[in-house]
Amino acid sequence: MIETPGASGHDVPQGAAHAAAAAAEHGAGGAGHSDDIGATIMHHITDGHTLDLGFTEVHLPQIHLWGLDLSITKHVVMMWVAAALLILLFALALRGMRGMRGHGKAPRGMANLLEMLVVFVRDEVCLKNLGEHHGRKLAPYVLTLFFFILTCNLLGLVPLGSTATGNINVTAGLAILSFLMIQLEGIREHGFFKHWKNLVPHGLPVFVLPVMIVVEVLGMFVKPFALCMRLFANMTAGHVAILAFLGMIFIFQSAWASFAAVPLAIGIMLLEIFVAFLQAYIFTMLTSLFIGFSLHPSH
Amino acid sequence: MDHHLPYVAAAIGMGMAVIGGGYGIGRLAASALDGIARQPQAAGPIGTNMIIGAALIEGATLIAEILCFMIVILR
Repeated sequence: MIETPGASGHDVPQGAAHAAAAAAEHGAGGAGHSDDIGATIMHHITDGHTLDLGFTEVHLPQIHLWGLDLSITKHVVMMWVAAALLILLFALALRGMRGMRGHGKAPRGMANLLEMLVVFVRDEVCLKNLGEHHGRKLAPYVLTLFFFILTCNLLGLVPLGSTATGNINVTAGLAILSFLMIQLEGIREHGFFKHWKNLVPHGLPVFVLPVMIVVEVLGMFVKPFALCMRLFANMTAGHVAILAFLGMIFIFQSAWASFAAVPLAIGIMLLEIFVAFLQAYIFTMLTSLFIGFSLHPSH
Repeated sequence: MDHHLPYVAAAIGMGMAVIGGGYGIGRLAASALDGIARQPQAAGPIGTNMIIGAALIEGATLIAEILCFMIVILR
């Protein structure tokens, strides 16, 4: 574990409003739990069986079924919160579209706000990469992917929230889903055997073929793996940076450090908002790009 | 020294990862700015493609950093 010099055996001085607000804002009280800043950072980043609501801790049920650990953990709850939030937002958006049926009027209310994002993702990402026909068929999946990843990313930045996509299992699940979509759409379009033949570009000299097969098969697995790692690393690194800056207050054992630490942490949090949107867009765009490659092998 | 070697390795690794990523994104931004200077009306698409390229390069950089972080965590 990471040991910080001089951190043991001291009492944390009563901080300025800055430090207390920052610590409470990050749902921590972390230095109240332990003097080990490394352990506190790890506690915030990783999944756990307790939901830390600031003043209470809710212990979540541990469920072990058929040799699998299917417990309800903190990140599972966060994913449920994201799903509920999305259902709520889009139900409200549906209300704003009520007077619209083919009258050419603008949507009102929540629909107006969400229309920006939905139309952007649908036109720039979905239709451009998948073409008209498949784009309209796959638009629900692509849009769901984008908004789910975006909401999970943003939930990590609010108090009491935690980033579900900062858990490699969650991003691995999303990447596996993308991998399945890539293969299944290709198989559905071209038939089982032709899909695998489409992996390798046509019109190559024969001696290059073994190398190309190896490269393409490896690429088939590496691309979703990179999707998984990219999202996980971006989310986790941002949160570790925020926690490390706020942890400076506790490492220096001084409330005055908060005058430097809190603006830095706020700066990184603003960057994290941008990164949340960007990474959701990148994941969605690369997924639809790869599905487009398998649907239209135009090598 | 042997006890602290993993920390040294992780720190040097993270620094080198940032050097590579910073250089790559710096070149990318320079090219994008050149392109915008030549054709100001193409600023929109150029900017969008620059952001996409930056996110992909940053992905590789951050993967390297997380793996260096793993060295310290799995101590």
